[in-house]
Amino acid sequence: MTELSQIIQALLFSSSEAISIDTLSKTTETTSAEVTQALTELTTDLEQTGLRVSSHNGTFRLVTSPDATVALARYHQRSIKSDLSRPALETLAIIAYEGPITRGKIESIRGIASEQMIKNLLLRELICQSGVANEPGRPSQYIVTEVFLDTVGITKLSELPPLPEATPNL
Amino acid sequence: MTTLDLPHIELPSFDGPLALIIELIEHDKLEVTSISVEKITAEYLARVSNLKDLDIIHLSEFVQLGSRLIYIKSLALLPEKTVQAEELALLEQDLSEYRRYREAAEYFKSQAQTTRTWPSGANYEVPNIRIPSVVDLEQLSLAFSLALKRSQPITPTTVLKRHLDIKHVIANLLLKAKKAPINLQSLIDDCADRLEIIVTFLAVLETIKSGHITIEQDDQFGDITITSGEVA
Repeated sequence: MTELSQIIQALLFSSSEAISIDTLSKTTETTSAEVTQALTELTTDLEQTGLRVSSHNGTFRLVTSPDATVALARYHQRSIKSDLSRPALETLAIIAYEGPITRGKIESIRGIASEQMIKNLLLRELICQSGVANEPGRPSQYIVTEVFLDTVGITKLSELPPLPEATPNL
Repeated sequence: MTTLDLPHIELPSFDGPLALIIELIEHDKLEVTSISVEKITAEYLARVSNLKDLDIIHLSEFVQLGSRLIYIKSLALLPEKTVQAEELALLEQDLSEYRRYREAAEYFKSQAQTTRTWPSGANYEVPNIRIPSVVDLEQLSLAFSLALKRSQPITPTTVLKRHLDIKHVIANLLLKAKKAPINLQSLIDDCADRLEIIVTFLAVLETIKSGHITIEQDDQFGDITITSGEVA
């Protein structure tokens, strides 16, 4: 592992918050291209360890490996059982695959008012506002958060399986 | 060692009318693409009429989809069948679009129950989140009326008449007269309203009668001066 990768690993380990490439390059006095290269290296190297690099929305964190879930839950006496209802997961799925997405679009897919659902997901920090849509009324757009990635045990959104195919021959 | 079981938090939410249709279709082991509108409409309406605890917002969506089904069904009566096919295709499209995310949600569910990651320096405590309970119309109107009550300024409901006691007026009159002779006209001018004028005039008459004051009038229609009887 290169020295830069090691330093970045230490930085990510020490921080409880996700760090952007910009901050990493400023802190290590390197270019963002070098940081990106080092992060790729770190991601590959950590595959063989109990840690993973989790990336979301241009920021990076160090997280525990999904393989360690059961032992960690036991050690911390925590349940990993999800307490999310089906409508909540459904709304999350729409935001995960389609985000940034407005409430109106979510409701048109689900066919039901989803304001309360979105409020609950915001409260649990599973989703956040990412900005406003450039359409009449400038409605808020939502994306999933790092808490969501942790909850479903993935380290980046691209790890999500492809969305099931729409039923053909309509 | 056993893992701690989380209390199951039921989020106030509804699966929605599309979910209900999917459920009905799956129950009949039908494909989304081969909906029997006749059959589904009847079953759907039967189920909706049994939904008791739905609030008005959600109910309206169930009703909306119900009317959509009836509309498609009614199109079957028309000789031109293509319109019905188009409407049905739209509904099927909505359903199949919705079903994709519903299936993805299933994946999330299984995933979230078997695996998860924690960030460095994570707090492993179960977050204590207070989920606001759903407020129904009745509670809302009660809260609103209470708020209205609080914000209302206190306005008198009955108008109290000004109370003038002739004894007090007499006492005041005697005190004034003792200090200096009083012009009756100025005494009347100081009165706030007609009632006070009447009471004052009665007080003057009363005190003349009892001999506590005397009145003098130099000319006809001239000023009347009141002087304390004791002085005179």
